Amino acid sequence: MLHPVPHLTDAGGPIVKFEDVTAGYQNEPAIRDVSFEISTGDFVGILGPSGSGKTTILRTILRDTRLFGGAVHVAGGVSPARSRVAYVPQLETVDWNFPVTVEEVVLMGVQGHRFWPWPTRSERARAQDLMDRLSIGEFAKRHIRRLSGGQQQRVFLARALAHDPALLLLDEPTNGVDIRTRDEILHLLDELNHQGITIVLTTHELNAVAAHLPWVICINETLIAAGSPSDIFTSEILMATYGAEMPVLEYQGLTLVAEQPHHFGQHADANGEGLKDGAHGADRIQSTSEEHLV
Amino acid sequence: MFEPFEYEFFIRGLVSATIVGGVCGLLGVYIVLRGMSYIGHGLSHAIFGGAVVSYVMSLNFYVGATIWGFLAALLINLTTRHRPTVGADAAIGIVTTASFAIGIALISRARTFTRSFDAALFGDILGVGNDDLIAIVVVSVLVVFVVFLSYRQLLFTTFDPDVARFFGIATGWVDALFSLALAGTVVISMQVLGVTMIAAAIVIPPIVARLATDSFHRMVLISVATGAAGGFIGIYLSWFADISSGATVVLVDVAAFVCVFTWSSFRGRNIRLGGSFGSTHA
Repeated sequence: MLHPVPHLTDAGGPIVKFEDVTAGYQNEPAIRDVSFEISTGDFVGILGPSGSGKTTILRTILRDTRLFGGAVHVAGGVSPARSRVAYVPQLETVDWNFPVTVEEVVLMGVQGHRFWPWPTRSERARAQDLMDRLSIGEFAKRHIRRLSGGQQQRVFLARALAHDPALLLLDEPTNGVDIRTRDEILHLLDELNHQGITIVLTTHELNAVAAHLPWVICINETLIAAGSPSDIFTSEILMATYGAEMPVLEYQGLTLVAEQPHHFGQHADANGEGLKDGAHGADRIQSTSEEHLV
Repeated sequence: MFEPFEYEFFIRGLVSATIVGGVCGLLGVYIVLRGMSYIGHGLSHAIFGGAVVSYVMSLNFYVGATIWGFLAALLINLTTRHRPTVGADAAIGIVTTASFAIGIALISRARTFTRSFDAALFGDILGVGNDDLIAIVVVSVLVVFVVFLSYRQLLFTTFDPDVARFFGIATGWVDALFSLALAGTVVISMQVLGVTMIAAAIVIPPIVARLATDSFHRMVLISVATGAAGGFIGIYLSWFADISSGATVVLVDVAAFVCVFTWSSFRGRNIRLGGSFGSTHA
């Protein structure tokens, strides 16, 4: 557990507030009647199955969806540029054949408003400082394709940080990377959070969330639950979110989610007996807490 | 060797082709990287429709054709951005052929269109007059100015159009400005290269540059230099070979491509251009 105080105090007030928000694309809402608050200084993970509306929540914060109902408040104003919101896209959406070096990508975020093609000395210094902080300084002149998955994620993180954000939104930053890289990315985000940046990310990695993030929002078109992982990770909430039975374990102080074993071609054991055999002594929690279900 | 330089029309043609080659190389970088390589070919046909409309309405050719081309390019961009299911290639095909068809329909109605089809299709460097040269210089300076001032915004919008908006870049305006610059470039290129050859002048120099470098700003510089050199050498060679100027310029560009492609193959560079090809994590 990295974050000492889950869901930090409301000292700075909410940086994001959704009030009965129904939003989506063209004529189809992707999320319905969603209400929650994200406080300044929070480190929040948005969980849910594919197509549940995780990315829609991020894009609604960025005013990039059609609002069918409700209200969205983002501290700092309507324009994402003015409200110091930065966004890190999924790596899958990046064109890795585009001819840009690491430094050129980071400089995109330094500022795009000034009408002069070349970066100033101070802008270059700021970009270099960010790259050094994220341990990619030595790759400044390297093409982005010639980096590892973790380094590529850091490049886009550096571009976002160059925007000097108060709120950092990341769309599945741990997707497609190995466990070590995933932990490195989450540790890095935790450090940034401790430096005062509010962080909201979407992810499928339930156990990584349990280990690193103090606050979780579960969504499946509507808001299912919000709270700390230890409170949220119950079989009932996970069933409501994912529509699948997901046994919950407690191991060395962490609440973990195990996948239900499947027995294809046979009648599966609906009570998850297979899990008990494979749990190696871990205490299984049959959580019945329903107070976090929305 | 220096004989052709004694003729004023040759010098005008040489200067025009060099400038046009450089400007096509400049805008071509963004076009190729946006995966819209076919737009030069399509727009030159679309502008043919604009030329006929200008003639019928007694408008100045450069003004009428540029406005027409701008609207066509804008329509293609809007369709591609807001209706991704249509796709850039299909949008180019629909808009530009529709525009070309309007031109043909108007000609068949008016029957008094007197501009040379050969010159429009294949270019006529000998026909570049002082007025044409002035138009080429003015439009080129404006295009370079636009690209210079919006260099960062254009780069971000081309690389990551969705995310650029979240960083405060007015991508709609950037696209509109780029469309205007492209329309102007295609119009001034028609006299020198001809409708059929413009696409090559827009596409080949940036691909030569892309094969040579992984850096965006170096790609821009190499593409402009390749385009300008292709224009200069092509016109110079066309004098001695006595073949069409537009075709010679394109053949010089193709020769450069073959050389760099062979060189890059030996170096083991393998680059695909235009659009996303998924993650290639090392």
